[in-house]
Amino acid sequence: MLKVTDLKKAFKNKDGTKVEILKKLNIEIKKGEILGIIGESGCGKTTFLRTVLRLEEADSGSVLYNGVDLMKISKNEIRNKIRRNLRYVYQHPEASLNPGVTVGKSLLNTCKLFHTNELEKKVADSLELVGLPFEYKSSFPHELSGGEKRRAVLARALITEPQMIFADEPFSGLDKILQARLIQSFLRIQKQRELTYILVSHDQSIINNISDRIFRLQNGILQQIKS
Amino acid sequence: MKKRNLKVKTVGRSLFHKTGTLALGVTILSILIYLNIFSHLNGENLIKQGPGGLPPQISLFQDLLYTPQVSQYLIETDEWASGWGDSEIRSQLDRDDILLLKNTPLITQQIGKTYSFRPEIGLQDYNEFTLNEAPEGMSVQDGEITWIPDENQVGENNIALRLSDSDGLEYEAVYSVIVTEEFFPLGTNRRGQSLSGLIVAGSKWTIVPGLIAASIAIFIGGFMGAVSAYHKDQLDSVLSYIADTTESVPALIIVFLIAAATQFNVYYIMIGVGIVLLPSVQNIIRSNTLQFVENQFVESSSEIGFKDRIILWREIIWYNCKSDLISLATYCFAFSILIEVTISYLGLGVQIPDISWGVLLAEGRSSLLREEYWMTVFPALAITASILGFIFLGAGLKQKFDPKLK
Amino acid sequence: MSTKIEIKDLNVGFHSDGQTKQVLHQVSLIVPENKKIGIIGESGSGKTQTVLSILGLISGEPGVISGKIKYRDNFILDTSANSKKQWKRIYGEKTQLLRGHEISIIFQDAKASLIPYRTIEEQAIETWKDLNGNQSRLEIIENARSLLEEMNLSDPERVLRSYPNQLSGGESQRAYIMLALLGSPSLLIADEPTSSLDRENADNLLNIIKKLCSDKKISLLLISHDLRDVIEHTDQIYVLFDGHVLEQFSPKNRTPTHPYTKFLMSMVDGELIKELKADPDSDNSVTNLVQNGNMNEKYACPYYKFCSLSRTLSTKEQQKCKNEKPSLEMFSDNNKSACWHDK
Repeated sequence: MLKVTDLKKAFKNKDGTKVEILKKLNIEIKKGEILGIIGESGCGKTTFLRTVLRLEEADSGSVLYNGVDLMKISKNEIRNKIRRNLRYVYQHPEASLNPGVTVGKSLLNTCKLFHTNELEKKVADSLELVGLPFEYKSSFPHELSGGEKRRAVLARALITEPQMIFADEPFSGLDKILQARLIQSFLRIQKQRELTYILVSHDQSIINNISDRIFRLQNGILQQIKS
Repeated sequence: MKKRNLKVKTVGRSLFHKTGTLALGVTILSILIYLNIFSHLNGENLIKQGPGGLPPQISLFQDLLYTPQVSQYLIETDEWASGWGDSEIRSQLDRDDILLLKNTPLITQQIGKTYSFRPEIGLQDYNEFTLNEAPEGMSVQDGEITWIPDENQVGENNIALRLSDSDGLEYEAVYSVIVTEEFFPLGTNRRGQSLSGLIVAGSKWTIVPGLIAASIAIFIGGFMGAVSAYHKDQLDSVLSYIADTTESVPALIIVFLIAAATQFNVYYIMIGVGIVLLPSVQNIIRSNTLQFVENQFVESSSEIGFKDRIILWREIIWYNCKSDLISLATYCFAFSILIEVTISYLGLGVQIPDISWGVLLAEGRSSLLREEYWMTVFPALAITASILGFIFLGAGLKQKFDPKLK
Repeated sequence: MSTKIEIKDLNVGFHSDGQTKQVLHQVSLIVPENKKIGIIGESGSGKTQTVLSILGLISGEPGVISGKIKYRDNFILDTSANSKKQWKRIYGEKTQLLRGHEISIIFQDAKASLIPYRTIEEQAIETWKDLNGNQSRLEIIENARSLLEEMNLSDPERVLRSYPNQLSGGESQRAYIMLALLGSPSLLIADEPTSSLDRENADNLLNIIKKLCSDKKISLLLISHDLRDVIEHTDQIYVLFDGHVLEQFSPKNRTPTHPYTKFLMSMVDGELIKELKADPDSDNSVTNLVQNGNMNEKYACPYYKFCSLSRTLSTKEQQKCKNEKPSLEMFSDNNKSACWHDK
């Protein structure tokens, strides 16, 4: 479904030296699978997700999705080809929610981008899907607890009815009961909507048991580990 | 015990913050708008004419703001002059030697309204006082003077109270009452114009000038600030440089220059005020926007698919900076009132015969020497109330619209 | 058996918004001489407050409500004796004497806890001077050096002369531990020392701590939210949830029985996640994570709302969970679990 070929990305250090974070990275993601990515902190897992989604620009390489090379499309086309179908869930939900707008309005605005009818219903559905009570529609982000913020961000990712979700440490920092519930929600939603997940996490026990395939990012390339 | 008190205090404080300031601000603003419209509709007829220098006819105010002149005389009969005409010798008495009337009478009254005065005599063992000189229709009953002036008695009317003490000495207390056709609740200025009418007429400078200055400062300054923070490149340095330069010039210099160049046209001056206020707005909006631009939610907004323009104007400015813009706007109004009053007072703004509160303050200045306080006090109160009104309004609205304070 | 620390029926609470929120309920805990005890709990479980109570550092009103704490058979806290003013004063005085001297504590993130503008050896000298002004500079530095050597640092001299930002992660951790052990405490409290570390580094750090404590006969109280930390490295584990001790067991010879501990274990070894993956929609009693009862109501058993075991019970049995608070019941070999139905 998504084929990454020879992805390269290097950063410049303060003293001018170049650090290659991604070196000729190759991977093919299958439809409907849960792909787990592990690796040391700072090794480039987040960079990988972000370059595929064109939130950062890679140096070279191609990413084929439905026959289109995502690295080559223009900024205008990004909206329709990437943003709608390939959604990114940020590591820190507090930072990705607009503090000045209610959860419901945020969902509505997102929905309006790609749909035109039954907007209110879609908002209600997405809240239910992630297990947030309907009243939370009119809450501001600072009124929500950590777990609830994550669910709000997840709802926002799901409301555009994407095909793939790239999640950066979605379960970290939560207590175990909340983690278990969120994992269950994730899995239920995947079953319901036939989604493909790419999960980045450092929690071995979660990644090992939830993923269909596991890859380790090391030395700038992805290597498969036996799951 | 301690727990409960704390809770009541915090609840009380937050209630006041939420409703009190906003309510006050809205009330004052509505009064100003009403006065504006009222004065526009009625034009020059607004200002009633009367005798100059009249103290306020509302007795409370007159008591507070005016001490009338009461002349006191000792009356002695001239033994040598009997039969030759005026046999009375009047010697004026100082207020320090003797105080014939302990309370002060009202010295103005409108026709048709009852004038009553119960003098408190400052002599021991006195007989009843009589009216030696009094306008027609004035009578004394049980130590109280009553009178209803009619239209023939408009103008100055002398009243003389004759008293004698137990030693047989005779005294006289003399003062005059001014009768007017119209009612002047706040008195009149030197030229006889009703102060209340003048204040209503002057209110027209509270809204429109502020509107001009605020529009320029908020829209242009806000736009510049937002754009320079969001795009953060060459544009940012240029705009910040302009803002710093403008800020460094003292406000009044710009105002004086425009006043001189446009022959004291207050509306053009307000454009200048807007330019003066622009850098502050620009800087505040810029720093607010910068705060959010650094915030990851801006990138997550692009990840959702929102366009850059929408992110800046809706997500950052409208959702988050709205409250700051509103309170800055009301501050611009308050500032404009202050500038208008200052330049009019100095003679560089609104010119006579046009009326503004600043002009009233200027006119009233010399009257202060004559103890005619009301010509300064009431315009000053009006100015203070208007400025405070806008400030409260700003504070109240900011509370209401700031999402983080909910 | 002599004990280092003994906490009995400790209740701690704080006023907020006109109400009193109780953060510790009848918490009892024993750290025997030369043993390693673990406290496992998530955020809000009360583990930090337990530690602070031993050190006498609880701030806020009313703070300690009732309970007893003994250090080596001497009461440092006893709310049943004397007046409130008196026991508070004694509590303050005694804990002040113990802090840093006999009881030492390390927190997570070693690098952030070191003073950034002093070299390690200067910090060692300052620390020791605070505690006991007797030893000379050279003696202190020698102590520090040998401690670092015991922690398998090959060039302790260089580490001593460095500033914290010049040290690697592992080196600064060892320096931090060294500073805590300089005063030869008899009890070391480690409050979530592994929070920011991955599994491998966490195990390394805990092994270092364990070795030092065994060698120097220091008792260890290890606090963590990760079950793997305490299972491998302690002799007995206390499971805290919402200010209650739900289970007390020794990992070497008993598998826990309390539903909460079992849930934590199933998350750690991934069994629960495997089951969820196999069938996410299942309403199986173990995997069903939907809440019991009403979110806002308080039930007698603090875990009832989240308990998967209770869903398999009859209504009558569930009533017991809702209305009667389960106490820690005794089993053999010193294991206790606060659940009516897990026996």
